[in-house]
Amino acid sequence: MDKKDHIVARQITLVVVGFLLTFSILGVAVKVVLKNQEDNYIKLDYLVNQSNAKSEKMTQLSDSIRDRMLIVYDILISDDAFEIDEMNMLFSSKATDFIKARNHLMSLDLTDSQINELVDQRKILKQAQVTLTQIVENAINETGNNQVELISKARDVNAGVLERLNKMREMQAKLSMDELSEARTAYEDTRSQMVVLGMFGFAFSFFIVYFVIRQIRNQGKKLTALMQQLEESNQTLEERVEKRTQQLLHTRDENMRMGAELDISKQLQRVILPTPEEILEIEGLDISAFMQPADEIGGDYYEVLKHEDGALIGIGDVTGHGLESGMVMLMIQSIIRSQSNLSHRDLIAMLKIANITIHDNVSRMNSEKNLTLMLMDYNTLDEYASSKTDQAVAEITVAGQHESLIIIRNNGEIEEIDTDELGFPIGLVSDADDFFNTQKASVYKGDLLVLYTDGITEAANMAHELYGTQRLCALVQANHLLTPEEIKELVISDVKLHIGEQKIFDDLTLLVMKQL
Amino acid sequence: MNIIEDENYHVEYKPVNGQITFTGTLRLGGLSEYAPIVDCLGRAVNESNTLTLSLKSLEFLNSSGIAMFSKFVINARNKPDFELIVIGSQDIPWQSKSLNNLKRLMPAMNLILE
Repeated sequence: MDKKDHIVARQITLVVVGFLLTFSILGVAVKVVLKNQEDNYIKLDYLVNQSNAKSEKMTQLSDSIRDRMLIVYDILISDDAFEIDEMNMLFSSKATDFIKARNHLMSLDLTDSQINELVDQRKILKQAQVTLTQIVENAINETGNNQVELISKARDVNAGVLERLNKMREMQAKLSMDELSEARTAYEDTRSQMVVLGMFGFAFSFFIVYFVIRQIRNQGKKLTALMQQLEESNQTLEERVEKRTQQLLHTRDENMRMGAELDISKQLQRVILPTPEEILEIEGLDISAFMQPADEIGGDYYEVLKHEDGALIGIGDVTGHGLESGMVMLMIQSIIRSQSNLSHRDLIAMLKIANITIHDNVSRMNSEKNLTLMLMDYNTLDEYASSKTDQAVAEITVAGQHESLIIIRNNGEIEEIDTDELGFPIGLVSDADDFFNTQKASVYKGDLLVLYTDGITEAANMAHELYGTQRLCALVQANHLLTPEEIKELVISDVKLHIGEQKIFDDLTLLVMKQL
Repeated sequence: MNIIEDENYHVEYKPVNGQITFTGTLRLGGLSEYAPIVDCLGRAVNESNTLTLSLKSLEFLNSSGIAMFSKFVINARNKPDFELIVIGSQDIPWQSKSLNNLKRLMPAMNLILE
């Protein structure tokens, strides 16, 4: 409410300031116009007075000259000496009138040309006066025969002066007319000024009124916006609470979904692994298997399948993690198992079928999963029955690309079968037929076979140092006389010792087998 | 576009040298996310008869990345008179096996593991 009061106070201030400004502008405009008009009136009044006075004096001058001429005529035609004397006095008084009028005229605001004219006239009039005075004196003394000639001369001179006076008067009239028109122009200018000022004042007032109205409207809008904002923020708060609730629910659902996926993947990986009973059934081989999935589910695979000649053993590692990796593992298990009971097991043919099947299935899944896969066909030899220690009791055939197969002979010698040239990542390219090869090895009593995934050899510690193949080989070599179960336990605890507090990034799979 | 990068990796194609250098770790999700790099590789093959891929500073490459390079090599081996040089590092675990597999796909490839 404080804000609203503040806005109302501002609006009132704006209205008052607006009116004050409007009145001030109009007041100034009126004052300027009135001042100009007053000046015009004073000037006009002066002009009219001057003009009138000049005209009057000029008329007086003309009248005096004309009167004196008439008196001279009267003197000439009179024969009464008294009458002539009286007219002579009148003649002199007219001269006085003339001088008075001229002095008065000279005192007025004359132009330079008017002054010069009057000075010029004075010289001419002097001639005429001399002639007229001569005529009058002749008449009084009754002398002179050339009176008519003299009067004619004086008349001509006076007529010239009268004409010049007349012209002067006309010029004066023209001058007055010019000044009058000037005054009229000034008046009209003032009127225009008044109109312009009036319009300006009107426009300015209009602008102020518009400005004030706009300000008031803006403030009104602001107020409305504020109210709306308040309302919206209340609403948004509700929406946000709702949205956040939904988000939390979604996250919970997503977590549950991911948890479920993880569970399914782990299940897939575990349920399909060979059971301990199956492993125990393999004759001639003591097998100990270990698999620990990573914190994020991986795609390790191992298989032990009994067949009439021994067993088919497989180990592999599907790239990546999650449900897709689990699915690929399931596929490879089925592909291998479906072919394990054939009487003539052709590992290369099995790997080719596995490759094209996985490749095509993975393409259908729009995935780039592939896997390392090594198959080891274990075949007991007939000689096994004779139990001679210096003769091979079994033969293994190895195919497919994976980590190396480690063989520790019963005398502690170590052999490594590198599988890089025996295969190719299964499912990576459609045509990998040329890349699959087999390698055979004889197995003697007491020999140790170790299979593993890179989860073992690439297990990293806190310093990101890898466990390494060498450490694995050394450990199994040093302990090859122990049972597979004991060796497995040793290796796993050593790997975990190496990992320490570090997270387990990949599945750990280890198969330790000993020829009995 | 001769440089493709984000905070984890940097791929730079220098047409003058005919070389593409990869550094960092590449963990893109699927071949669709590798498409800009695939385009870059394709362009490099079209623009020159010799291409060097320097991978010795590529610390990690996920399975999608390996699939991408495999497909690239399969296509590149079909181009006549094309010389591919791949420089890798023996110190990076994934490289020796995967790069050797690439060489098996394209025996003419010149693989240098430093």
